[in-house]
Amino acid sequence: MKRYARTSTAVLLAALVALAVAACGGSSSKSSKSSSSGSSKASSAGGKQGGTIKIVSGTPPLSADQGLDFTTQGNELYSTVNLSLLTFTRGVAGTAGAKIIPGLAKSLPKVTDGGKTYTFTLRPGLHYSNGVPIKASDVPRALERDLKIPWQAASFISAYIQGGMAYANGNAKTISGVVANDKTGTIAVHLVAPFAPIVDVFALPGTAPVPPGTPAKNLAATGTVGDGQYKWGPITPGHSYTLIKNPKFDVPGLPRGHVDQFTYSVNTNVLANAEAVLNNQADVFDPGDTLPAAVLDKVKQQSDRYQAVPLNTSWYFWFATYKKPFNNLYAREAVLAAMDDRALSRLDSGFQTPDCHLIPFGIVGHSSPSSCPFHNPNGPANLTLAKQLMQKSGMTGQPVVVYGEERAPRRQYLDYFTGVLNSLGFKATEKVVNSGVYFTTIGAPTLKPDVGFGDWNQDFPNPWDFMQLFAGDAGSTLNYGYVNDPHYNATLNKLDQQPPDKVASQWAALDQYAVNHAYYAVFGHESKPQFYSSRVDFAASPLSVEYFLDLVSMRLK
Amino acid sequence: MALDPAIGPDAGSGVVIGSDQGSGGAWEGGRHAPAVGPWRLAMRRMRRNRVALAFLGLFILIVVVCVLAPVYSHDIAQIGPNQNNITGQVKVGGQEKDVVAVDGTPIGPTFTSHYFLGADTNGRDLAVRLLYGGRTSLLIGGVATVIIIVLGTLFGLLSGYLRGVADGILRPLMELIWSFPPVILGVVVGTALALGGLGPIKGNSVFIPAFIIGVIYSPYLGKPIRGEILRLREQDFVDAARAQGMGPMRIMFTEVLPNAASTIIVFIPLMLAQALLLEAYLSFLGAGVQAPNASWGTLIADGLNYIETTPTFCLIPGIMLVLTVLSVNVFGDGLRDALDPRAQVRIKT
Repeated sequence: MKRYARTSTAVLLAALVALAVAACGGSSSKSSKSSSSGSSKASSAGGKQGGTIKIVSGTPPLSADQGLDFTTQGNELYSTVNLSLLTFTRGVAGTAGAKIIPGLAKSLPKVTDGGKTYTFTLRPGLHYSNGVPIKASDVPRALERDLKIPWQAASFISAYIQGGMAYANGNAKTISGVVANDKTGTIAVHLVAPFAPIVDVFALPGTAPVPPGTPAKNLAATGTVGDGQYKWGPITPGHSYTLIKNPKFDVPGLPRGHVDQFTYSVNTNVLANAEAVLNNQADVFDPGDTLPAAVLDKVKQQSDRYQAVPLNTSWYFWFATYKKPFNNLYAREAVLAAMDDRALSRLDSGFQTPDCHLIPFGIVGHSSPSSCPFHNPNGPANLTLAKQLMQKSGMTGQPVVVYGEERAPRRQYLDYFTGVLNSLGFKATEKVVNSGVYFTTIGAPTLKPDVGFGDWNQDFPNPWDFMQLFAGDAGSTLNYGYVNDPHYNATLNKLDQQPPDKVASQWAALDQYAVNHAYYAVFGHESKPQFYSSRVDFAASPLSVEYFLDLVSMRLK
Repeated sequence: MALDPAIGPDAGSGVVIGSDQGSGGAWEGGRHAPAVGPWRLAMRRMRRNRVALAFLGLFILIVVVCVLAPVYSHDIAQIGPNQNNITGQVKVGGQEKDVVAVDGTPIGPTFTSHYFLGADTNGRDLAVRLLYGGRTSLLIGGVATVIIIVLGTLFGLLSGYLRGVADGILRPLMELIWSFPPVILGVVVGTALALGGLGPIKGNSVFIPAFIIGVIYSPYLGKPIRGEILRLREQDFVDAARAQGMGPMRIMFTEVLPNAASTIIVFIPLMLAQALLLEAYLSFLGAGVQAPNASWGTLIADGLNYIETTPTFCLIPGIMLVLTVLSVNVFGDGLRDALDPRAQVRIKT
């Protein structure tokens, strides 16, 4: 004990500060090792060819296997490995980058039978990255594999293609609605009913062909052998992924890629990721992550390598509309009136554009935020109306569990939204779920949560892609609140038979109908950060509305 | 009877009393001074240890400040610990400033009554959350310590005194819990219970981490207590009690346990410090206190995002945690010296 008495105050204070700093932990690796390396040579196009680009991301894909994964992070990667019959334009910023063009198919499909049959014809002489020729029959094999694993978006196949559901349920040996002819290279897809977005579905990597012998199980550690501009290198699931240029890729009219290799490293400390790119220790900050406010000022100063890019996303809260308290329309409306979209934008470092509609600005059928019924998205919350509606609802004091994700800014949204509910008189508590399993958790049929957070990035440029989230009969597993409105369902099923631009106003009307019924509390559409190291050719590497990171177009200076 | 130094194991303390008399003027006017009990003697030693008392004072101060969190929140800061104020403004130096800027940057320390230490991303007053977080941390630490003392003492007492089957069951159980690293075990159990809760206790209750910490650390007390009980059960006073016809339960709780009291008391501050630290670890890792409630661990985690721009966000809860743990540890050392007869030598020098 006496030793303490003799210890000098200075030593004690020094230890105190050291311990306090240690308690705070370190923020980032300070390795000065360069991340870009490899061969390089000038291309005829003027940009540099070759080299390695290091991507840092806060969230891993669920799997490297396109037959399972349907996440934004996964799509960024395997969209370069698994080319489908159709594909999206590369190297173009804005909505023009979402144009569908032929991929493995010679041309866009021939539509017959009143919109119920789509016929594709393969280009001749195509090969996988391992040299095996691509056959028409590889396409139905891939679709069957998708249903067996199953693909996160398997409902696109099971709900809309003839025989899809029977195959998914184990009642058929093949998907009867997909007929392939290896001799002619044709693939005929017969639909249950006309469904215009099927064109978009056949542009997704999940429908890309797989070679014979590909096991119908999740190949998380290897990915599948593909036919795209890149092939998989070493993978450590959940931690790092490598893409290596496929020298055998040769599809006329499609870019071949510029960079020799991409490494995709996962670090949940998004701040450390941003700093690594800022200090040129990594090359690309994954646009699926939010730039932390702590570094935003510093990043914004790098105007030659940073910009916020509006992409097609919607962020919202959903309600369990079939049970108390949110089966009460007034209760839902009260919540919409009490939300301050400007506050929610600030939580996202200012990257949200406030709005109440589900269809984002870049998609056909978007409505003006001025038509939001319960409060002006660019103004304060309408608390007077909210309290009146809450009183009408009679739901004061009802317990509510709010579900949200762990990663920023989603947990902050959860705190905010729970605060809003409590200020209205609900007894709201939070349930924070790990981001890696959040959507699986809230989608579990056994859980049936009360209310929670959701966000959606476009799969393809069709309003159906957003509006199907709340469809009660479209086979969607994403309808976490079990919204089931006959008018909504019927309208959705009618509109999805038409090309979107022909029925744009009807899509807008459906979105407005759902907003008026407060089926969802959309609070904005997020812009994404295009933030690279000074090594990357910023102008030649735009973000894609479809892929986010357009790796095929990306190149070093 | 139990504390009678003449027949109990604290007979050793009798030696201490004797030697203490030597130093404290045992002979007063040629007459024997009245006998001094071991507890009074311990108090006397404690009073002489000014450093330990100073740190006890610091700990009491921290507790009082944290207990008064609602007063600060209501009367000074005028905002609740979980109250969001993202689009609000605050007057600093005569100017209205956004609590959270449009780009999401929260205001730093204002050193005024409102947002004294600044705001977090949700516009919540960090000073208010620091005090409420302290309340939560101390509550969890306190409850966990009670659980540790109760469970650890029961484990040690039953296992050490009864031996046989009880020892055969309890000792491996303690070894099993002991063999897991506390943080890893805490994260695993904490994450599971945060989702499902524990019986009637909801997953977001502060009693969940308290319970976890209490169970994890109970062998850290149980094992040494068992050793002490094994020693005590062979003492003459236990044999005397048996000879008087006392049953094992009565002997355990009225004869053996009181004689192990000083050992248990010495462990209380030590376990409290460990409980506070583990709570901070678990909350830092998201397996302890659940949002939106704050603890020092969650505040450190939240502040980490601003370590470069506003390091005070994580430094201040870190310092509070360190001060609390340090004060408990230093006081604990003083308590041990006071209760440990061998400490006499050190106090004298």
